[in-house]
Amino acid sequence: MDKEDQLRTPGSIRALFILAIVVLLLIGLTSCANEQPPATVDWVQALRATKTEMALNPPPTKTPQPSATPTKEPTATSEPTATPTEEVVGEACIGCHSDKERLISLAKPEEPAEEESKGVG
Amino acid sequence: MAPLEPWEKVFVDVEKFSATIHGQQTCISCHNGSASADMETAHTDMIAMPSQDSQKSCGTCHQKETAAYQVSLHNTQQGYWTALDKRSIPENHPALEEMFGNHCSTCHTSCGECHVAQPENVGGGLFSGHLFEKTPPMTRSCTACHGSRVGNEYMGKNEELPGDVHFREARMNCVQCHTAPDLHGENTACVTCHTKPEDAEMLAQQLDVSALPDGRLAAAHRYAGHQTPTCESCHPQVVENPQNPMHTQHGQNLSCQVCHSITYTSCDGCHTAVSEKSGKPYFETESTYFTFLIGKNTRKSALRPYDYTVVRHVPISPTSFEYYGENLLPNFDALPTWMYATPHNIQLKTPQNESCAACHGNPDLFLTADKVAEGEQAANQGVIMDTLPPPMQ
Repeated sequence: MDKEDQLRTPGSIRALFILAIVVLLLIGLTSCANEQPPATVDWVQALRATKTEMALNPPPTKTPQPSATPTKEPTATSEPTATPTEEVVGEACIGCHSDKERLISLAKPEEPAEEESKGVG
Repeated sequence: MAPLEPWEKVFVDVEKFSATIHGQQTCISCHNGSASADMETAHTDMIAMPSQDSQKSCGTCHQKETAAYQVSLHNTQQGYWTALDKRSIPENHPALEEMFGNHCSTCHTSCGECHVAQPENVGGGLFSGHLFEKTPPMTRSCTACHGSRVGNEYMGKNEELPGDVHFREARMNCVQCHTAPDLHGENTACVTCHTKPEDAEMLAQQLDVSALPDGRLAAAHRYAGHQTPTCESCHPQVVENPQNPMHTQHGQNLSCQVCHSITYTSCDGCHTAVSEKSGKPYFETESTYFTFLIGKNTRKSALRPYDYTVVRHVPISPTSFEYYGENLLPNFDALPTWMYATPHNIQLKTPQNESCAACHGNPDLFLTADKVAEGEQAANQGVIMDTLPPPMQ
């Protein structure tokens, strides 16, 4: 093998290597393209929707709420983006605080404090 | 005022609240907390009362009100310190501050405690499903704190004593006289009108106020400056009516309450301490009783020119704060214990205005030395009546 062949052979390997990387990148990009982009929640709409839903279908009392798993994937931008998980949060605040029965069941019993003050304040 | 059930205190009426402008905000935008459906996690770092930091919360939209509120008496409680400082000395300030923090400061009021929830010191809790009330509900807000004297007198809750005519006849609530700008502390820029240099001296000498460099008013006491409101602002035709001989004769030398107020509440000897049993602060008032007494006006000014006013005994004594230190009020006599008062139980006809003779020659109506406790004679020298109006011939 002369000197030129010695140089050509590594070049083929290099081309194959680059091709493999490109293919891998394409596969990666394709799989990313199938994922849903992080949802940007319109909080006002979400709250309104939640309220309407709550009014029509009040959640059952004492039923554990589906646990929300926080989505921790980093986002590409620094803008605060609300994940679908946060929609559940809006529902959680309103869902609980508008449900009389649930509030009664969750309320910590208030110990009637002994009144130690005497006379008119 | 009946206490709220625990659930009721935090109940949000979704349908009604969402129809309001405040209902367009998210919960956590005001209350902080964590983004979680789990209650404990959601409540972590939650701010139950966002308006405690009013400029950061309410102030994002209500800048004018929250900026003014920084000096409102509802916020600063400066009235307590005006009296405490007068009766005490600077060296006692730390001990009095501890007392103040344990007792007086519980009456501090935030925006939310008037506009969305009951005041914390009467149990707290949302008024009505988190709806914001532009006008605070009188009994659940104003008289929830100002109840034992003002509220009971105004609404006629003292047995056999009628309520104030403005409530009985006109159903007026507090804010119809005590307007929002007054309550928010917006009406304190006296030098916006009194712009001349000599005005400052006039303000200080005649009105018992001093103008601060920023234009705000520093009152020497609660009755300094303009009367807000004045009776004349609604009743000018009556006050200036020359055909009313009582007003012609006494309009300038008697405060309106002297003729138009009835029996009101006085209190003696409030003492404060911290309970050994529970570790909680408490108070004890020696006695509460009904009085109607006329004394000399110790707050005479251009705007309060009266020689005589009705006077109420305030629940202070030289030993009120002895739990926090010895002799904390060494200048106790610097202020009277029978104070200029404006009872909220106004009537058109009262026992003392039935006739001239009902008042003249009637010693029962006047604060004379024999009605003042021995240890309080010096403090009340300026109030005690030296001579009584003679009987009518």
